[in-house]
Amino acid sequence: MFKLFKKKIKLVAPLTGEAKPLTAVGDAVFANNLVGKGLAIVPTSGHVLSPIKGKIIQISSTLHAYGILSDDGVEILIHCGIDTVELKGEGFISHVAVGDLVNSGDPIATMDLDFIQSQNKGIITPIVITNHDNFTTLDMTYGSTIKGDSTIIEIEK
Amino acid sequence: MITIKSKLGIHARPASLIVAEAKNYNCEIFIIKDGNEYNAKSIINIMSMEAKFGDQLELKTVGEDADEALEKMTAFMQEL
Repeated sequence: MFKLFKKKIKLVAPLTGEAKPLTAVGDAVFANNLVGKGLAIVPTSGHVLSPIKGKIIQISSTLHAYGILSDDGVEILIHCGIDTVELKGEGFISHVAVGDLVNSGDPIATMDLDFIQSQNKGIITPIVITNHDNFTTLDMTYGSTIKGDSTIIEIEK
Repeated sequence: MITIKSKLGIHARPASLIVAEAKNYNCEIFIIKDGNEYNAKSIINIMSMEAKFGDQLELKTVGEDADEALEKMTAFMQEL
């Protein structure tokens, strides 16, 4: 009965591609949920959208990592590619600034997938809930994703 | 005083390691950079600090195991 009133928070895919478990990232820090719980998308296009309505709370100076705080209090980190901190911003365009309010599906960044791969960096992009301790359930949906449309993570408070 | 030795500064990976270590303590742990305080138990908060190679940081701990946390976290962060 009470379950009916429990609010489910939904994250949509920020990228078009294939959603996989974090173990597919090939990086122990992500695979062991040290950054947070979530999944990773192997993108087929480099347009990164906001997975939820909220506020941009962090952008790396190297433009490869974005922190979003949703209106429901979910803290999300989108880490575009792996070891991409070493590219020092090259291959990334940011479309937002810290403090910006975003809706689900608003553009956040663009990744130049060909360039990133030419530098031998991974394009697989972890999307993790960094404050997952505050929530009871996180359900992941793996498989092909369409940006701004496919639900990838459902969260219950 | 802690000096950042990592050439890439404190990005997602080292930030995650700091949080994992900080969560071993019950006290509140803050990293201080340029007079601003950042919560050592929040990855995004630490990343927003944008600590770079050569930057100098200080720690502040508040709570029951504050002394132990200060000593061990300082040693841990110096090796990042």
